[in-house]
Amino acid sequence: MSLAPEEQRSVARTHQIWGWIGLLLFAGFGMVLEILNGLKLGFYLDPEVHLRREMWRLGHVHGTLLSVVQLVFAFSVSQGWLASVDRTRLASFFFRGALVLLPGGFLLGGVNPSESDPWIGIWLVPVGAAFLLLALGLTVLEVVKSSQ
Amino acid sequence: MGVMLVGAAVLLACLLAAVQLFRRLPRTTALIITSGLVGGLVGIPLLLLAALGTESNKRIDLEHVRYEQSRSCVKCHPDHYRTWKQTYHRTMTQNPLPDAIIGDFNDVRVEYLGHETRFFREGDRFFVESTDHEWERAIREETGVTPAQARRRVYSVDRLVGSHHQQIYLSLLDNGEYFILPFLWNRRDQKWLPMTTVFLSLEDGSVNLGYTTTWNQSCIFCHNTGPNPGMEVPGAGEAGIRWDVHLQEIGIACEACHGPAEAHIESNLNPIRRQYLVETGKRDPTIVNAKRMRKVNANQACGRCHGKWGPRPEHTREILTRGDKFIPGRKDLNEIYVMPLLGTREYDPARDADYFWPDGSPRATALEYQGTVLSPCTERGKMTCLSCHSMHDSDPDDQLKFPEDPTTPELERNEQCLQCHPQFRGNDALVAHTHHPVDSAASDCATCHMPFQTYGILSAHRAHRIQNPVPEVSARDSTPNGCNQCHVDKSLRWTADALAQWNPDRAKPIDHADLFAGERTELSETLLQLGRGHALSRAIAVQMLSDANGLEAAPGLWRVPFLIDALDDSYAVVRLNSLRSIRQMPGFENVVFDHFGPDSLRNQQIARIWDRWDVVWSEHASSLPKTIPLNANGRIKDDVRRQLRANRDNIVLNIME
Repeated sequence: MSLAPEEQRSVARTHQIWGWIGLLLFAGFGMVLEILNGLKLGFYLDPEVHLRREMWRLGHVHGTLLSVVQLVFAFSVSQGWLASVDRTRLASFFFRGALVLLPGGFLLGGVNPSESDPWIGIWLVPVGAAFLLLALGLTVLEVVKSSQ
Repeated sequence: MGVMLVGAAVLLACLLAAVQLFRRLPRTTALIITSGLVGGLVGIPLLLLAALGTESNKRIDLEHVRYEQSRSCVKCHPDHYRTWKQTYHRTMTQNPLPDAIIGDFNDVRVEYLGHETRFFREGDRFFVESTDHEWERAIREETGVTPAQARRRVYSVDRLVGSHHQQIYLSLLDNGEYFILPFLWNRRDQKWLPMTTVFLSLEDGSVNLGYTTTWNQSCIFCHNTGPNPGMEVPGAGEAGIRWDVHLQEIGIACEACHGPAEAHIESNLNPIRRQYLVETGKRDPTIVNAKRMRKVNANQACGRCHGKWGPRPEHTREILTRGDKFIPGRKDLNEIYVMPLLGTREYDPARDADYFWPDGSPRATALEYQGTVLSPCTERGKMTCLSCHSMHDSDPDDQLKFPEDPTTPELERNEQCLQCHPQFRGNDALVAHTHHPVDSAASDCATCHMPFQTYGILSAHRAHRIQNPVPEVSARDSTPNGCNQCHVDKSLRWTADALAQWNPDRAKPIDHADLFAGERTELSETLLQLGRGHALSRAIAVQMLSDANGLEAAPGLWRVPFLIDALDDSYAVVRLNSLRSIRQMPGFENVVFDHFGPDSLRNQQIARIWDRWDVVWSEHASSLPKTIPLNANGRIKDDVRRQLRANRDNIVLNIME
């Protein structure tokens, strides 16, 4: 079943909202990290918590980039590059899941890291990564199909 | 809780994904993807977790595990690596790189017993030219041999020992022995000192032979990680012993305390195992950690080197040929080593007299283990070395867990003790306990309970047997006590009377009328020990006379003549410490004295220092308490000096630490 224009707009709209809100949150989080840096706060900068810094920076970057990906996906949908309603809806679900799980896993991983490893929240990252790969796979499939 | 929440989140995500997949895709495709997702993200970790739950309880026989070196540890333990790297443990043994050498090798020449020793470098290589030790050994029994006849030898510096207080230099000989060169560099005095003058022992008249310890069969064990001297005993018709030294890592690195790490590293490549151990707080059986050991094992982990005496005869050959197999926490130290300790059959008061006071307290540094385990805090409490010290969270200078910071309030200095004695927290409680002002040195627990009783690396150090001051024991054994180490002008009776007044019910181990009679009443206890005590008592006394606490409690230059008098001591270390103390007195900062120079030179220099004293005394003469036996000329009263010297404890001490 192919994607009706109404549905196209709905999916695109959803991802625009997720994308822009994501950008607001994760770019805003980047500002928080800069403030932590500027104030030289030990709980973020001390060598003993180097993993917290690394995890939160990864969370910021992944969140920001995945927010942009949401906008790109919205654009692709609005351009009619994705035709199948089921695959589009599925890709939409996995993209949104990835936006929550990937940066969320990194942020949680930095909450209470040990000397050698992030906190157990890091286990959300591979789940988010799997979601992202599935979403990308579905999108590639649809885009390739629509171009033929 | 965290594990539950994250697990629930992962499961929820997988469940939602499965719902979406089955809703949107053909059943078979959905099934394959769902299986992959759930299997990969939930199933495999769960299976590994279940397996690890069993595996991580297994205790591994570390004796057969390989060493991996500290660079392998840094990947997972960067903070522990960093904090260890700044310690002097790391630099206990080093290769002779220019950055590691602290001695002056700029073509410096030092004379000792008429023999000249020259320290020089060629590019990045360092050399010591001195009297050949083999020549010196060969002519040992001969008479009439003069230094001018000495055979010279140029030794290359091939390894370094120490970096904190002093640095010893080793030269690799043809038989694999790392020969201890005859001079060390003393950091505090910025001076080359003959090895035979740096221990509490009498000089033997030789340049090379007085210090008989061999690095290959002694120092190697505590100053390195996984040491194996590789002794090769000669067969019939073969030359002497050869050594094929092998170190797992040079210096005291991670595995010296934590055991060999190969199994630990391999096991923990698995992230689930790491996460499991962190989240459950379970002990990792692939490695040892003194923090998680029983009290006795935790103390032995440090005591192996800070208390070791010597290997048991039945283990000696194996240790010298194959290395020391002791792994902290896995073996009782007493199985491998003889550890003389008061109250055990290993302790022989006669044999061990050099190293222990008559009450069993250690006299030497590096016997901190024996002091610690005899402390009531350990015997009756739960104190271990790690109660006060930390390898990773401390100032490298003393490795005290709570670093002393002059800017912190006085009370925080005692944090080590307050962990178990919270009743003394707060100014009122402290003053009530110490009977001293809160800002005085007596407000530091260590001042009274850990007096300077041990000697090593050219100075007196605090005892690690934590005790109350007991003047009766001091009277019986001449053991230094904390009270008279500040109140250096006071007699032992004064101390006994003060303690009796403060605490009339105090238990007295000995009690008889004349315990504090005579000199114990009439003379300063510190001066009494300096005049009459054995070499260790004298070495401690001269140091206490210039200690900041002593100068505060008993100020004045009256101590100078007693220190000058000690400059002719038969023990070089007493002479050196007297000189150090004199130089802390105003007006005496620049006095010149060559404490290992020839007698004639030393006598001239002492005469000059007396001249200086006469001038100072003429300007600062003052009345003194009776316990300080100075006459009107500022000289030690002849009759008292004669009496003390006549009764001096001339026991020959030989403390090689």
